[in-house]
Amino acid sequence: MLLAADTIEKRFSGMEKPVLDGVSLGLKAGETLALTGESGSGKSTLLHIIAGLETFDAGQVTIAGQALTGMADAARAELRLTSIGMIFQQFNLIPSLNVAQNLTFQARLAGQTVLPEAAENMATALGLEDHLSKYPEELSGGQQQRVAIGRALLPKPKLVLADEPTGNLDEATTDAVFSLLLRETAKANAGLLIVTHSQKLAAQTDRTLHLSHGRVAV
Amino acid sequence: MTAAILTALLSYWKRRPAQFAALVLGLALATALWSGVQAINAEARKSYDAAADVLGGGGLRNLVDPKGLISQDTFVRLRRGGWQVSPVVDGWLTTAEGRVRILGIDPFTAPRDGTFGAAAETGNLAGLTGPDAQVFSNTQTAERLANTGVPLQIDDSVAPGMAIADLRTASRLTGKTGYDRLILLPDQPLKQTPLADLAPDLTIEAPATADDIGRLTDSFHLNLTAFGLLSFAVGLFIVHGAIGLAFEQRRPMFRTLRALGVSSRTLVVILMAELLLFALAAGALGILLGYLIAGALLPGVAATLRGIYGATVEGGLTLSPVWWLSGLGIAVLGTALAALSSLYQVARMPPLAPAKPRAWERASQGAIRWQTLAACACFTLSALAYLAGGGLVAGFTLLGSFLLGAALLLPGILLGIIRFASAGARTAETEWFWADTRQQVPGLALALMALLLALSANIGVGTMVSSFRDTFTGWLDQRLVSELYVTVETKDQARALEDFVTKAGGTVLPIWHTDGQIKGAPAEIYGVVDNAVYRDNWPLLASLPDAWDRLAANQGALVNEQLARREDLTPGDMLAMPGGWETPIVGVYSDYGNPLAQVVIPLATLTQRFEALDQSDFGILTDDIPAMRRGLRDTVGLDEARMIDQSALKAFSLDIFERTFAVTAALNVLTLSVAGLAILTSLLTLSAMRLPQLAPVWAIGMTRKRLAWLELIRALALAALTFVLALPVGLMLAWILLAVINVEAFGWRLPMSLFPKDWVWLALASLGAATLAAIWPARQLAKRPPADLIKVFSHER
Repeated sequence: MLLAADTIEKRFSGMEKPVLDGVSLGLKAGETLALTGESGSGKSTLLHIIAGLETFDAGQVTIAGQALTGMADAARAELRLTSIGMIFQQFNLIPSLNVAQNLTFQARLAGQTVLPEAAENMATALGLEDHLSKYPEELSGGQQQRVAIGRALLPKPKLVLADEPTGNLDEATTDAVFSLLLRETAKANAGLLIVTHSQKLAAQTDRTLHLSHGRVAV
Repeated sequence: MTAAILTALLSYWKRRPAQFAALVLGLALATALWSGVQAINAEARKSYDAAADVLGGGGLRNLVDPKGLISQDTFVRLRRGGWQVSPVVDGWLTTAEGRVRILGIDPFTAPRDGTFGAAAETGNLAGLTGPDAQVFSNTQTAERLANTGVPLQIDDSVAPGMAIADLRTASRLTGKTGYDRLILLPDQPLKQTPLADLAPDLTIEAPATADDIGRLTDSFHLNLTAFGLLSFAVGLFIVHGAIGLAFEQRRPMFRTLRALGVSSRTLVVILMAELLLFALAAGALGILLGYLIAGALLPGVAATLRGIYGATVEGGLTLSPVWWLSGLGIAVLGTALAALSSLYQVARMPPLAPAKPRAWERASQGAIRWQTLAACACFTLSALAYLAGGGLVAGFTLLGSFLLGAALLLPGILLGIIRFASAGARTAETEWFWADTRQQVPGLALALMALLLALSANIGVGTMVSSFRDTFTGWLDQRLVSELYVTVETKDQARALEDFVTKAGGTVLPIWHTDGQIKGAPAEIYGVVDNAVYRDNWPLLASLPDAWDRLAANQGALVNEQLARREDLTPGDMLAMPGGWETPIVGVYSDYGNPLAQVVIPLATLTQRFEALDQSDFGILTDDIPAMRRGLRDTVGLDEARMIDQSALKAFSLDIFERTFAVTAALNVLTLSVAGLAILTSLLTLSAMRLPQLAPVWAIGMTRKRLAWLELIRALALAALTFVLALPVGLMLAWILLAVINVEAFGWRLPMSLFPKDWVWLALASLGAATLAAIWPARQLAKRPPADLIKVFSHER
């Protein structure tokens, strides 16, 4: 199992009910899983916990055989850098770097040598070959999200975590970007966990897990 | 409605205390440094006015003899001829504790308008003229007279540095045998014998005014004011940055308010009211700080003014309400200046203007291009001021526009350097580091500009002071040719001194002088004997061949650099002397630390041409100083307080020098501290804005600790770059100060020396300041809970 989350519990201080109340899930390499649910159901918190961005109160999370429980901050950062690709709703590109630099940023940060042809191939696959020297602010929303997908996939992560990756895009762009995300993660044989409100997108993944009030809805 | 809008606007500051602190502190410090300097200037001016009142006889005209002292016979003749005049003896008494100006008056005829304080009041006649004739002075001056054995009467209404005595006592203390002037009393009879018949040599002179002292000290005060203005400008950089940022961050709020029906005019007026509120509060705080600064610096300034100009200033502060009000005024004006562009933008903002979180940053980047152009304009103005030349105003225009140009150019140059550095980056981390640094430059530009100004001022003023110290020390070594300097009390004592010194194998060098007007300005005229020590030691900047031989043969005079520069005189030119005679100039000598024109002529010519001579000072060449001192004390009867040896005189001169520049050094440190604070406040205000830029990098896999380290390194790199750029600016500033401002202000030009060791210390200080400023925001970042960073992703939804 690439990702195993077992009875995760998380409670924020000052909140009466837990955000996550014994949530479990599993994901194999090459598999896609959509996490759906209403606002406040805890799906983003679960994604953040899996990414090692947020700690949890109880349960166990294992990624590629490494347990997150008790893992130091630096080790979790290293795990994200080498094994996880993160995609955010707001793209969160580095505004001061151009498209080519943003694309290769995580891979190079992880100490990988990115061959120019690998970057070019990724740019071509994402339809960004004509925008490599542009800066994020010069791109449309769809183009920015393509760069974010490329940045997440170029280091060849085992797991891709996407938090509402098409939440800021129009319908046509959403379809194009989502297809691209599915195609490229499949090509890399990475597991994809995606948080989305859209049933239409969820239907395109291998499995869907619906969260409600911090629990997996049956 | 107004209250609701104001509450909404003020709520912003409540949530951003660091930004609020930056605004208030920036404004308070700017006001403090400006008000402090103004307080010092005001205090000095008040003392000059008090002194001028006494010296000028309360604004009354005087009768003077341009050739020297007025005899008692002339005075009596005038009184008999119907002239209502009152004699005055005016001279200096040098004691071990410092110099005191002695004013001798005739209490029976002196004006009783309060000019001479209690001394001239009828009830005190006995005290002033009795067998134990008292000398009236204020408490501080009395301390300087304590060891003279003169009975003292404290009268705090007497001007500082001055003592009032009766004519007999004053003549005894100053060694004068006549009157310096006769005060023309206001009520003169209708019938008088014409002055030309009674005393044809006397002329009527306008009353002395504060301007006489003011003219001498103007340049010193102008320098202080320039420093105050620089500090104020540095402070305004912080205020401008804080206001600009706050306005941009509140754009969404402005948009909402406009959409809800608030007119642009109402919004601007309420924003102005908000700023006025801050300006008054911060201004009041600044004035209090300014009062403390002035109180701390005033004793040093007073020592300088006394040492260099002989002008006495009280050590305590008594400030008028005008000063307090002007402090608040400058705070409000500064805030208005700093907020002008932001208010203009709000006034022009359409109701549905998009809220662009990075608009400020982009606008700043655009502004950098304009800044670079403005910098070029400043440099052009600077060059024009230099070419136009002449006058202190042109000098300060050159200096001010050059400094402003350098500051405006800084962000553009920094961006260029960073671009160059990022081209050489090999790893993703360094690539991101430089790209992110480039993006931060607009936000930090104002703080870095403030740092550049502070560092340049430090380097420039430091180089000037050190160059001055070097030259001054060397010059003192040359100029102080005698081993011992003495001041005698009477002519008999002078004769006894000459006899004793000659018998003891020493040489007497009289240092006699008189004061007069040359080319319409006060000047000192000294007489020297022909002695090899002068030829061997006196530094001449320009001279005719055999200048000393010509001087000895009474074929010319030496003039000091100040006079030569002011009147554009060179060796060979003729110089019109007081009394209507001329002499050729044979040489120009350096005379640092003296604001007056000075002429050296042969001693014989001095005694022949001038009557009112100060003949009390002598230099003595001797191989055995202790033995000579003993002999002078035991045989001639000279008091120890009237003898000072060369090393003590050098130490005394250097002490005045160090005190003079202690004030400058203090202002330097304060300005650097303000710049350090500017960096701290900028980093703190930017740290909140930077979270959206740092959170993705953290999410990708860079630890918070690593990010914090990079933030610290960035601040250090920018401070180091700024220091490197400040170095040429500071050296240029030093050159302007030495070659232009000093020449215009004081009349002397100094050679410029470089002191790389000082730069190392300053570089370490600036890096230290940057570290201190960056360590807090960096630590905050390292300890920031992950939840805060995650919020960046959640908030954007």
